[in-house]
Amino acid sequence: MVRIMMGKIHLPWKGSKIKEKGMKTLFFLSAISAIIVIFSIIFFLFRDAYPIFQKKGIVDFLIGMRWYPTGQPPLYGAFPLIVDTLLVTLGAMLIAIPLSIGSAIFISEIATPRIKAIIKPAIELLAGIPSVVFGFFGLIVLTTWLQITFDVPTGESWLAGSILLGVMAIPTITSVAEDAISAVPREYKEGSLAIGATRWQTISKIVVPSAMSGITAAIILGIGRAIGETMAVMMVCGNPTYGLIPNPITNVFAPIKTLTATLGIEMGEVATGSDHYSALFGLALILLIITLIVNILATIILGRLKERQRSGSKKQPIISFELGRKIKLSFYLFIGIIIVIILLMAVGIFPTVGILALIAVIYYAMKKISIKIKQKIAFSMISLTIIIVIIFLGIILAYIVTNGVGALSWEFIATGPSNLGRSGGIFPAIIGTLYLVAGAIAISLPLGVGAAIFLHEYTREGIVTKIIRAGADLLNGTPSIVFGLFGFAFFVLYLKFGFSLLAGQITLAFMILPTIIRTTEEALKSVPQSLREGSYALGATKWQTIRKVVLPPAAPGILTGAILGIGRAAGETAPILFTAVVFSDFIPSSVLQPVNALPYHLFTLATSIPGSKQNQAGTALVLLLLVIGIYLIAILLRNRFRKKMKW
Amino acid sequence: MILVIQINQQKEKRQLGMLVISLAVIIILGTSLFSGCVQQQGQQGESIVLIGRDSTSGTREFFWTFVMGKANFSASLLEKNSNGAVQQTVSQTPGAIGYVGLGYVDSTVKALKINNITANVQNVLAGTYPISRDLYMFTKGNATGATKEFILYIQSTEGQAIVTQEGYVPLQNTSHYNTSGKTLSGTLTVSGSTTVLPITDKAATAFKVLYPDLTVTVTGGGSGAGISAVSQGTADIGMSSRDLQSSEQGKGLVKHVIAKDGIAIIVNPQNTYVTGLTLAQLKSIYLGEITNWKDLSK
Amino acid sequence: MTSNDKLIRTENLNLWYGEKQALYDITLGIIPNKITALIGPSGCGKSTLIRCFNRMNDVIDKCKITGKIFFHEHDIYEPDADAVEVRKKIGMVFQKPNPFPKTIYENVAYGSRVQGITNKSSLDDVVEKSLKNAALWDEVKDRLHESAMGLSGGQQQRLCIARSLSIEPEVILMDEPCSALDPIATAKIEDLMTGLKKKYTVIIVTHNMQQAARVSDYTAYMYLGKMIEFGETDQIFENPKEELTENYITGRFG
Ligand SMILES: Nc1ncnc2c1ncn2[C@@H]1O[C@H](COP(=O)(O)OP(=O)(O)OP(=O)(O)O)[C@@H](O)[C@H]1O
Ligand SMILES: [Mg+2]
Repeated sequence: MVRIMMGKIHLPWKGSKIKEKGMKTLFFLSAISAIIVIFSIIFFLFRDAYPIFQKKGIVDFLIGMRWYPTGQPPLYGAFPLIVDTLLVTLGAMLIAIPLSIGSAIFISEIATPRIKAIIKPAIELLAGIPSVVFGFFGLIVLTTWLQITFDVPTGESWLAGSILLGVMAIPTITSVAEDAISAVPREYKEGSLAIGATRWQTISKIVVPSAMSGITAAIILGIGRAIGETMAVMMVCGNPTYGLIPNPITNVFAPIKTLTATLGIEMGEVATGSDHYSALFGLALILLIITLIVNILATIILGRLKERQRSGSKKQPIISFELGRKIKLSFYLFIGIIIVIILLMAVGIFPTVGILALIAVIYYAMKKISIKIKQKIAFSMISLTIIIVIIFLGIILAYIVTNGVGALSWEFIATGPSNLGRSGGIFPAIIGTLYLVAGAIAISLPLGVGAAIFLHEYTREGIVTKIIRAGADLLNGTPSIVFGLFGFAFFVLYLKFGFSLLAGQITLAFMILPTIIRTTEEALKSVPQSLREGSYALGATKWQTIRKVVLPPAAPGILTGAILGIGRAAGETAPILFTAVVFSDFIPSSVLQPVNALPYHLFTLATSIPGSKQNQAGTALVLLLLVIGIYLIAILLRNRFRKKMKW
Repeated sequence: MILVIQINQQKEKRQLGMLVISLAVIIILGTSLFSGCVQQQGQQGESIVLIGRDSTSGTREFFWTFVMGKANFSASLLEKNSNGAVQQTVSQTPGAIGYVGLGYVDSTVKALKINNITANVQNVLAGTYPISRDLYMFTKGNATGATKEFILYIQSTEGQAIVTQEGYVPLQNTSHYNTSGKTLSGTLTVSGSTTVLPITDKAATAFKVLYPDLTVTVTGGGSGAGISAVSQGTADIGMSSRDLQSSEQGKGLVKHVIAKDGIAIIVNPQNTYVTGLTLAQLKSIYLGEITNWKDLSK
Repeated sequence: MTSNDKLIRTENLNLWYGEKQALYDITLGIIPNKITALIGPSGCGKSTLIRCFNRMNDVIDKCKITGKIFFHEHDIYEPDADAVEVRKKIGMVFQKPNPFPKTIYENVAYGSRVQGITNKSSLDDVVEKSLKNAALWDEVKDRLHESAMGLSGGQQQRLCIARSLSIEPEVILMDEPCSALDPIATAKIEDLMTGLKKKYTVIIVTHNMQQAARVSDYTAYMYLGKMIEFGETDQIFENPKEELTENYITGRFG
């Protein structure tokens, strides 16, 4: 009797155990996919870059002053490209950092709830504008404006690139910085206000310093995004032929050529297997290493921040008072000297003295004026930043809408292009984008959700999760053009997929994988532990608990992540540039055929087909509507989901 | 009574005044800083802006060999990744000069005479216009089936009519294409040079009318991309505006000449300084020895 | 007692958080240099009321106030009044110790710094004096430039008291200052309060009946946003006039 009972209990239990193991293995496999991908990327870049390093030497490659792969003899000097990449990023940050931090302060500390409810999503939408649309706007409007306004020979310049990149980095920096500022405990603020500090004093002396590490991480993430950006930079920076360091180095109107732009321009035409081909992979490797370093820094800082929040504020290390003051002083001194040197180089002695005098006058005036007026000034400056950001956004959207709306018609949506896209529609590009995105999400969603489930449900925090998360973070920071090169080397050439839908789908899937992992993890985190415990208490297995109890409430969060991934995949150009897209009116009937896609269609029209203005703007508008629509859904979904998640 | 937090009206006004003053100071400071950074000031369109193709383009290679005598371009040459982009930039930039296939010349740019010869099809055909070259299609091994028919079609009188219509220079002594009852199906993929692209695109449209069951995909990407695609078998035909390079030889590619192309030297329509250049002047310009249009108009 | 004896006086104070009314017609007078305790069940509006005295509710977006609060017979909510000035005169200590993530020294010097004092020696004086007044000096004088986060909870709370003393307010509001502390730390803070009474007027919110009975001179009992009874502490605890007060004090509810 007892035996039978035991048998009865034992059998299904054993069965479920096997199933449990199976599920766990499956999740583990999807979890390590991120690591496999990042290592494959590094491996393939290195494999294809190796010949050039061997032939020319890594040092010569890095410090060579000329990039002229088709010259005689060919020259492979990446130095000017690296310098230009850093310069354009620096310029972008000079624009983006004040605007973003001002906006972040405005949103979290100054805006009334109603204004906040409008502005926050508006800035998040800015993140949804595809980079090729920025490039299109930059090419047609910004460069021309710069050329006429400043009376320079050409507007395609460092400045144009920095402005675009700056605007593009604003949403990233703003949202991370805003999170950091909002996370400053309310007690700090109240403590400061309660002893008679003004709101501005509270913000500048307590809130912002407390959020400093989060803000730093935000800036570093923004830098990472700017360094890796391809399409916009490629379209507006001019790309001087050998790579050119501006002369003098402060000449913001000099055309420049970044690493990403070089890859974007030359990769498509290079003879496979040649030295030039290998050199381009060398550039990609440099680019990847730079962005990896930047992202690792950001990850470390953010990680520390999280740890501090978790372990309470007790162990917070503070540099000793005197040392801190010395560091601060020498930092200001350093910055001051650099600014003076730049001024001297840029404008000469007299204006420099004038400017310094002016600064001194302002400084003393600021000391004299009352605390309350200081607050007024500070708040107006901050409001000004947000106004500038909104104006940027408004100009871009207004330009695209007013110019594109004329092209919109049923025919434009539903027919193929004719006369190289000058007339006719964009139907194949729309279908191609849908195919690419559908494939990408079909691949990345199971992998990403599986990985997140493994990370959050099946393992304790430890070395394994750390490594997997690091993999996902690195993948997240990898520039999209590097995915493109990897896709080309691995899928197109090595696996012999050719330029194909499949190659594009997998490449895009890898690109959005980290987004899906992260948002899924967040969704899982928001499911209270008590629900799981309740389920276990009823005798459910782990997988049953996950499937029946954890996943249903997490579904909206996962869906949000998927939608964000879709939006990103739909707007990206660089990853599909060398793996999947062709400029054609062709609708593929198998995954091994190439496709057209909206961003690529726009890119080609804007850069290669003269006389297609109307259809350029039309394509930009459709792409914008598509991507922003997708983002909007994600934002709305997230907001609803947040409200509902108050358990 | 509902109480609101408010500051004294008078105080408010004073503060607003301060605000306006401080904003003005900041704006003045900003603009003076900024204008200090503006170095290259000059008369609109006076300095020459060099526009060229990227280093893997067939057009650029030809220009570099033929015009430059393989001497290095000036470092200030701005690279564009297609003929259309060069044309577009020149049309937007007052001081620009660029080189494109004849087919890309339209009313938004001005083509310069070279050695006093106008850039047009007749002059290329007559052999008087100095900068011209052949355009190619490459196949892996000898062309067969649909590939062969398509190339024959382009080389025929009908195909060459498209060549002429697109502004390129047709082959001489062509014969009519006839389908003679052949049927073709499946897909034909053509990719490569953006110079050849407009011809192929039109030809493909006409060709599909002859063979309704056949799908023809035509894509750009550049000569190098086309050649590597056809040697890897991902395309049936590679379009190219240059001959094979050493790294591309020995892969069994067969060359088909399908048209000739003149390279037009274009400037912005607002350019009043020149209407023509000699080959030597053109070379000096692209070497960076002549940097101002004024130096040429004397 | 005339109204002039009162340092802080509210008149028909009503307060809403959005649609929800949290205070109803509160009329109350605080006598200077005494300790006044606010007691009442959770959610009855004690914190809300005490936060009205130094206009901390300004920070809350949806908060709307009608009625008057006089401080030295000036209405602190009139349009001309400046919340920052009010807070300089009426300091506050919170339920959870909330030192800034700065050094001990900087925490105490903060109030002076925001008023534009940069002179090092006067800052040093302020820090020393305030810490002594808060009975913390001896414990921290050797580690002034270490993080305030490294102090114990009780020390942190005394640091917060020192911080609010540093700008020499007239009134100190304390919202359950001991609720996060152990009995020993609580005793220290209670001693401190009794000492502070000589120079300052103290208003304290507490859930601890014994504490209210021990330290306060006056006690106000609130219930559901209304002021039920206000009087001398002895009278409230020994001989409450209202039944609600009696029920609460004898522990029949709350
Ligand atoms: N910021 C706010 N927004 C909306 N309602 C609030 C807010 N703060 C407090 N309330 C509400 O106002 C009422 C009074 O709250 P208050 O914090 O003053 O109570 P309390 O007496 O201090 O309670 P406790 O003893 O628990 O601290 C409560 O019903 C509370 O829910
Ligand atoms: Mg309370």
